[in-house]
Amino acid sequence: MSTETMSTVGMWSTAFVHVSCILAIMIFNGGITIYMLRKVLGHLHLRLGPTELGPAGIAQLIPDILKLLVKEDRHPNRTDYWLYCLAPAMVFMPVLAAYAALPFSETLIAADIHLGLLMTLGFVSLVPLGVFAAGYASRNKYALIGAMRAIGGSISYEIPLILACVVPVMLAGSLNLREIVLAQQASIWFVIPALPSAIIFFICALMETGQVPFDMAESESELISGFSTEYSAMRFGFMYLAEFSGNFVMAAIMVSLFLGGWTLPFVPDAIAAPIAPVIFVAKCYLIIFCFMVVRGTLSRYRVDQFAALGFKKLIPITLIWTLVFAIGFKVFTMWGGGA
Amino acid sequence: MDTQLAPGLERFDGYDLQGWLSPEPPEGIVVPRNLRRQSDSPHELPADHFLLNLGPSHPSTHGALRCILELNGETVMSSEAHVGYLHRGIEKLAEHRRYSALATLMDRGDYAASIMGEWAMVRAVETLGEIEVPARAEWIRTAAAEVCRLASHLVWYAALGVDTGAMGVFLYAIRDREDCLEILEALTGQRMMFNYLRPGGVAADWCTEADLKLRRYLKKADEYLDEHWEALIGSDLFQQRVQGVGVVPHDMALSFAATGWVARASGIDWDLRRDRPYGYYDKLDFDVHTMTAGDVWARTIVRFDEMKQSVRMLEQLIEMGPPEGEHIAKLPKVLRLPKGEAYGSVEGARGELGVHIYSEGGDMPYRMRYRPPIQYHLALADTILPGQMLADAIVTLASFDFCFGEVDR
Repeated sequence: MSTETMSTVGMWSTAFVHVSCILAIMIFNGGITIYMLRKVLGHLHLRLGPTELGPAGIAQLIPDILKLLVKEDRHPNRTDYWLYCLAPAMVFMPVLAAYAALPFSETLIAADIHLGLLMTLGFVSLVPLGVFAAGYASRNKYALIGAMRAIGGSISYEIPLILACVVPVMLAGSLNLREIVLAQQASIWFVIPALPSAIIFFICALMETGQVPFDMAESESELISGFSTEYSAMRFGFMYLAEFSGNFVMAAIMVSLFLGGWTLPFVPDAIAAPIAPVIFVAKCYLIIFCFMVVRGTLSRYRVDQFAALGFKKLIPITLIWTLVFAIGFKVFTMWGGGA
Repeated sequence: MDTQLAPGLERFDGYDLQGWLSPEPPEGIVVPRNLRRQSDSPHELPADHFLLNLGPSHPSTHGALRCILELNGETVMSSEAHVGYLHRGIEKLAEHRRYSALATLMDRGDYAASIMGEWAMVRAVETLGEIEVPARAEWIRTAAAEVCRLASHLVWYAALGVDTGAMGVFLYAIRDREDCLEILEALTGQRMMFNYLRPGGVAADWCTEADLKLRRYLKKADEYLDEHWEALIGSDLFQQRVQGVGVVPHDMALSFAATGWVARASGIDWDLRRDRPYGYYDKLDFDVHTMTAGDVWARTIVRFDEMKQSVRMLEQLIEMGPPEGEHIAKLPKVLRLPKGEAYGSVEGARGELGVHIYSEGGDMPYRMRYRPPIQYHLALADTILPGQMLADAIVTLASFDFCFGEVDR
């Protein structure tokens, strides 16, 4: 075997291992998030969530997932069949790819890409395409309205979402998520100098993941289940899984950009370094917990109010804030002699 | 090709009902006549409009309302409400029931606030038979009706939360409703369909258990209501959703015979409890809240205030205590009414709930007419839907608090 073949085999096997790990994380995350969602929403709603199966009802996950797996896979008549089958994958795959550049620790990254942040955001913004495909192919008016709303939402929130990332990128001088975290380790968490960006990012992440108050694409009381109305069994399961993974990806980006990634302040490196991935994941679930509290508390925006919020409020505010920050940052580095 | 179709069916040759994305209509699809828009013949559906069949099984039609909406994007262009999915022929059945058995039928009208329907019926019977009702019975009826009103309004509030996307408030409201239902359960033995009011009084006397439960509920009722205010009605997001939405102008409310809180939210100062007092209401001190805006917000505020007033009335009732005496008048076992007719009405949870009884003599009514306030409000809602966004249409429908047991009868 030549060295070239060896390296090709090595490359493919590494890729295979990476993708398998990411899939495992996705499924694991799906399980944790379902359980967490039920418990958190349950307690917010004066209920208990699952209690019967296993300690604190945690084994309830098993029949839930089994149910999705063994349910009859139905599809309505006269759908656009191939697109209908493809849509869950179109929702699922970009989220899977988005995991690649997430820095779980300094070394634990599937793909340490120089433009990691840009790539992750790019993949995440492909999700509405899959959502639209699902709504279009279902041949159901409720699904189609939901799909249209998803596209409309995507247009309104993508710009402020990306603008909100600009300030931490400016501070770190890099688009590589690992380097952004390292820059925070060297100075302070960027949530302190860039608090407005962090807040806007949080709002846009809620929009991105389609949660109350921004769940127009699904809005159960209006559109039954929006774009996923006609989906059942594991196809629906994939959409569900992608939604939860989307939550995790957005939380992970937020943790990397603003909350110091896998690092902890005032804790010596010797203690923090071995448990770096645990710290990172714990921070992610803290953000997801915040998403869930918002979801369990607020009521829903109307679709035009949602667009108005994106275009008339978030975009001007982020633009002005970014400009002010950029000028301030430039002045500071000129006079302060570099940061 | 002239195949025979069942009556009421028509060959479909217009637009594609399943999705407007495909330009060609499907071959040979047969649709029931009522699925077609009434305006089919005057004008064709414009190319960018489509029909949306909302209900009868839809998460937010609260019962069995079916609305056929013509949408242009998200905007409702026209609306056509279909009712009758819950029709049981209550009015016809009443012609074959003795007066004492009518309560079971009335329960199944406005099933969220059954006491109100029963009370309207017994009031009509008592007027016609000139029956004297003991004061104790009137006291119990008033207390039961106000608890029932609270239970019914809390369901409306819970559903309003869900329809605006705030799942959170639902179970908080249901928790309070549980307390109300427990009071009624202790009093009547049922949680719904009470079958409690009889011509001349009530079926069972006021009891200690109900008394204790009512006292326990009243202790925390104000705190709970404040909690509801904070959780949903006070929030900016909710106010943005409901202010200026689903406006019913004053003259429209008058011409559509709106009653109850719909009328009061549009500036019609009318409450049967105050203006035509019955039961124990003339001895109670309460306010009637009126607003002029006529939108969903005004209806929400008026109704929320009604809940507060109900709590106030119950507090006064408990303070007075039930007067001594019988809980039901001495009447013959089989009640026979003279020839004639009478109308009895109460301020129901959803407006003026009336029952008109026509008697030819004997122990059963010759004809009974049930006046469901919601039916009049449904016509109103159907009229104001066009021009709204789909999401607003859902909230507007929720704000009228439909109860289809009552509309379909």
